[in-house]
Amino acid sequence: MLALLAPPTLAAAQPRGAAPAQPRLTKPPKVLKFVAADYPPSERKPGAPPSVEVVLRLSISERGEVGDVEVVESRGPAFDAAAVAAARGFVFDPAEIDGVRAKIRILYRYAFTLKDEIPTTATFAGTVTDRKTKKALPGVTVALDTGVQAVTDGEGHFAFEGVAPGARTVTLSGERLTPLRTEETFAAGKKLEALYEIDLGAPPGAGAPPGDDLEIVVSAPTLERRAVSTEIRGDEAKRLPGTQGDVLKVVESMPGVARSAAGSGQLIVWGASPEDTRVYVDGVLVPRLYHDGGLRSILATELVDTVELAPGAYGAAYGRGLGGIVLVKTKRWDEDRVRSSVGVDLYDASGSLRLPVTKKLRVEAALRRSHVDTLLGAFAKNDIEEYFPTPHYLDGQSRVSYDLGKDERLSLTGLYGSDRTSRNAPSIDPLFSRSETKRTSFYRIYATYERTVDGAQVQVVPSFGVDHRELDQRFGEVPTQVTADASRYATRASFRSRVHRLLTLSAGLDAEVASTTLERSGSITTPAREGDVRVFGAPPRDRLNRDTWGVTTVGLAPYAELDLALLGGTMHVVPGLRFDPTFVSVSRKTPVEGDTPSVGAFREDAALEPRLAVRFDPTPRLGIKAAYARVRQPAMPEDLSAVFGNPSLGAATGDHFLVSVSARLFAKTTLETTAFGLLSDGLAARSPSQAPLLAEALVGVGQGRAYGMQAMLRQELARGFFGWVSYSIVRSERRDAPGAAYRLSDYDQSHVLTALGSYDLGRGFEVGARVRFATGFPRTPVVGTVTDTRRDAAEPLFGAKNTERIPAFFQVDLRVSKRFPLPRGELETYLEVQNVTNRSNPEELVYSRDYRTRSTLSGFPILPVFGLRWNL
Amino acid sequence: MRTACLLAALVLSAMACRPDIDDRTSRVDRLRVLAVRAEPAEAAPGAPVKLSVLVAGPEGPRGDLVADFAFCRDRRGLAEASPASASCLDDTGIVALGASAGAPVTGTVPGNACGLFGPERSAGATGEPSGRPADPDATGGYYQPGRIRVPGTDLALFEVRTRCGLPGATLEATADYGRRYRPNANPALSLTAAGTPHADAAIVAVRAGEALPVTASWPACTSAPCDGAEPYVAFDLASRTVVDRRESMLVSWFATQGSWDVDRTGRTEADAERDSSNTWRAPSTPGSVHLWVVLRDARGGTDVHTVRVDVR
Repeated sequence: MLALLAPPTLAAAQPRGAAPAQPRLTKPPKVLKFVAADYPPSERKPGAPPSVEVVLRLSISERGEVGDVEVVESRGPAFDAAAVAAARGFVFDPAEIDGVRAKIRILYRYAFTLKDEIPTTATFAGTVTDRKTKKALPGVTVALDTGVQAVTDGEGHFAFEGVAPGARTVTLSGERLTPLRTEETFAAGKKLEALYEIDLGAPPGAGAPPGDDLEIVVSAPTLERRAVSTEIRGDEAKRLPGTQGDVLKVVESMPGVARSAAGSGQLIVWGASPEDTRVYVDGVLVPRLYHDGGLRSILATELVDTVELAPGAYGAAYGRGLGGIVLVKTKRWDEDRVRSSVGVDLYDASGSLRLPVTKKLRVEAALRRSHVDTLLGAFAKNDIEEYFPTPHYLDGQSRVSYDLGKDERLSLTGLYGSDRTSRNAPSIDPLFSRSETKRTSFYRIYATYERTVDGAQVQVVPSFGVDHRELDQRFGEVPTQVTADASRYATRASFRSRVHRLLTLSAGLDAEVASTTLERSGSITTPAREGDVRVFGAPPRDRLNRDTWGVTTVGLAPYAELDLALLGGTMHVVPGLRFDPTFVSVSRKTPVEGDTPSVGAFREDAALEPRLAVRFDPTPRLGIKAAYARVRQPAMPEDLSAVFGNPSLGAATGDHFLVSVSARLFAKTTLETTAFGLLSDGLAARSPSQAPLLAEALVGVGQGRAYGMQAMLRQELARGFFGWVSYSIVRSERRDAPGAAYRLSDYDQSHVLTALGSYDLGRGFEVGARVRFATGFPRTPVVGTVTDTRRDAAEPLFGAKNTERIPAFFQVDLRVSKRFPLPRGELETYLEVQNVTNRSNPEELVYSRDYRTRSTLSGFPILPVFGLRWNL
Repeated sequence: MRTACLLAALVLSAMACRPDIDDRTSRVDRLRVLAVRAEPAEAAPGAPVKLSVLVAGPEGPRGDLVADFAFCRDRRGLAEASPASASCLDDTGIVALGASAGAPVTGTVPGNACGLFGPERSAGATGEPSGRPADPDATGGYYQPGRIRVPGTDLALFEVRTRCGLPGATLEATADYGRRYRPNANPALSLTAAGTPHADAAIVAVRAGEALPVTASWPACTSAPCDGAEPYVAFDLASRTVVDRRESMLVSWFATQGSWDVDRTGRTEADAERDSSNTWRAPSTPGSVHLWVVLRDARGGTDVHTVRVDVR
């Protein structure tokens, strides 16, 4: 119980004969004995406020006893009575006025706090409507097999509290209804909401066949497609330290995600290569989650509803990636008022607008542009870009949505993102004069059609998009240029329906067509790929080549999943099957040879990808999951060059296994532990041959395996606090040819520990902290040096591949935010201090030019980031 | 640099700071192979080349040390991280050329050099496609690699530019290239110290702590072969035509004591100047110091100049 002592009111008379001076409170009363009152049982309802305060006026005698108690601010009879009864039992150290004990009256704020309790029952609520007219049906009796029943009100609503968990028979009956039975499964602490649509027969006497007068339609429950995933609501994520208010940056703190190198923005999940993890926004594939430099995500925070990371063994709806998937779901905005926001911080400025044009038509738009480059230019010397690749980024989103009907909606969304980073390091030493410019951009336009038909949910998302990527680099006289332009057409259609009381069907189509044209020149080992041994900052090899090629990839994957509820709903078996034929056409099978016309290459890969997930909840507090998924990933267009890669590369395959146990320790505290194993085969690797065949610089003979465990202790929002502690132990290995010894993958990060939390102090204040520890990525040791006399450069001799590591990373970030109510809207401010301990974190190993001295490249020191956002 | 780093860190969270590492390569404080010169600078397969090496130590030139020359027999694999094939580094795949102390060694460029290290595709086994040709350097050239072992030094690699054909060019381009290409010739280096020309192995006197401006220059060159920055033709992989280019020049500066302002200077292909300057600062203590200047053209040609400085 929290109590607040308000300013006392003097009750004592003026001392007789004293000068007319104001009496002075020299010692306020102090509670010596506090009497705690329980939150009244009658007020413990669903949705009851967690904290209630009753303001009392207490009369305290010279002896500290409580006399009269008045209720000044009432919170209802139950709270008032409990507070008054408790206050009468208080004993105070009496107040003193001018040094003398005296009577006094004070205001006392008595606080009741609703303690969380482990729920043992469920809540059941719903609506009964006429299927044809969609009108609510009042007067329908809804009965449970426990004997309790409720009658729908004028809105067709009904509700039950304290339903015992387990499978229960639900009966609907009424004047015009033949009693109907169905079955629902209740879980402790959960609320089950049902919509019963009933076909009423013709009125009595109209000739309706008896017994065939109604049909019940139950909406399909949400199918849990991913056996193990971490989902965060956008409203929570943006409050977490480390995100700088950017919702999607929370993915970096999720279990199973490696801490990527500063500035890389890479997403490394369970030791998989970054390009193996796919990112979807509303089911539409996007090329990246973060802008270059990793400062920001590609999507405005205002648009994000949830972000979910499934590291592996996900359902049949997704594929074509060996790693995990990140699913971003945008908000469905239903308000009828204009909303807007503008924000600015150290990195960028942003704004958003939501405009209801009519009751059914809504328009949304958001825009963000970086200004960090301008700040650098203003505060730093002109040559700052010699040392630091300065990010320039821009992203924007827009949406028009239209409600076609009660359960039908159509929207058209556009996403855009662009990046440019440049770095120039001119040197009088011709060998070490460097310049680099990277440009990437993408846009997506997609329509989303959603409809609920007879309880079945249908969604169709056709999309079109363009990706552009460009790297222009020069190191000494060695140029590197890579350009890739891709046009993408895709359609994702899904259908979900409960086909039986124990069976839910989910089926759909995941179709993608990508046409990519690529141009590359430079050294075959630049840019480096996984498994390439290299030294940070070393000049690339000066053997050069060039190629232009085109790749068209067509993927047409129908899929289906069944959710079979067994053992009274405590066990769900979800088998799935995905048939993913992929057709790859490459414009050139061999390098250009004089005037000889090019001959293209065509490859078809078709295979079934079985998926299986089993979920068993033996008790309301314990859940056990196991899952298996076979996945395939077509060769990347970049790898299909006849000069730099291999146009005949096939798809790589992977097998994901996981077992997970989750326990609800307290009402809002869960612990989930997952063990996993990933096997992959057919990975593209550099040809191990000293004399590789023509157009076979890469061969699909690589193999990989990753295994480990992750645990997450998560506190849902309760009493203003939420957060989690996650720990992952992962070992990710590769071998570049069958029979070769396994080595550590470039993306192996053994230990990643993240603890973060945010606490609402009240009055608009929030504080948060994040602590991160991560093992460094593997590197290959330099064990000697040779002299390259033609280029006057030292060249390193390497030891065994990936047998040492960058030193470990440790960082603490703090965040304080405050919301100020304004006459119009609200001003949200935050200060996030990264690396508050100012630890010098090694990001990379660096060597002197003769490779005789080694040091580390350190990350950023203590860094305050201040931001403002005005929400209207 | 430190200020820039801190400033950038205050503005950017994702940037990193490079530590200060002693990157000076001009200081000869241990036994080193500074240069290898092939004469001629470019040879056809089967042609002889004369190889000489410059070995230096803190005490000066070390022509007394025996240098063991060999050509590599295998191409470095695409997956190999080493700068040459493993068989070349461990001597299991070499063609020995001989050993010499101070005197040049003559070897013959292997007849299959353009197949192993050049654009000619090796024939595949029966039923298999042919092999992948080697990639050229930025000048369009191919090189026969080799290695030198000198006791007390790091293993040194050298490359002899080899006259080969063009990769995947049309007959017209191949003919044009064959007609216009001239093999590379070694450049000729002239040295001027404090405004005075100095022949190779000259002796210069300076005061302790004094700055000595040195200029390396090479002759004008309008048509190949010549001993300056030669014009040459190369096969442009983008346009797949034969284009005109000119050699860039790289000057490496070495000293046993004192310090050069910069370790390497040069002229790019677009820069037609015929000299490159640097300043050497004498040590504060008197003594004898050796300076070396190595001039390299972009196609593997090399010349060397030595200066002995009496610091008084």
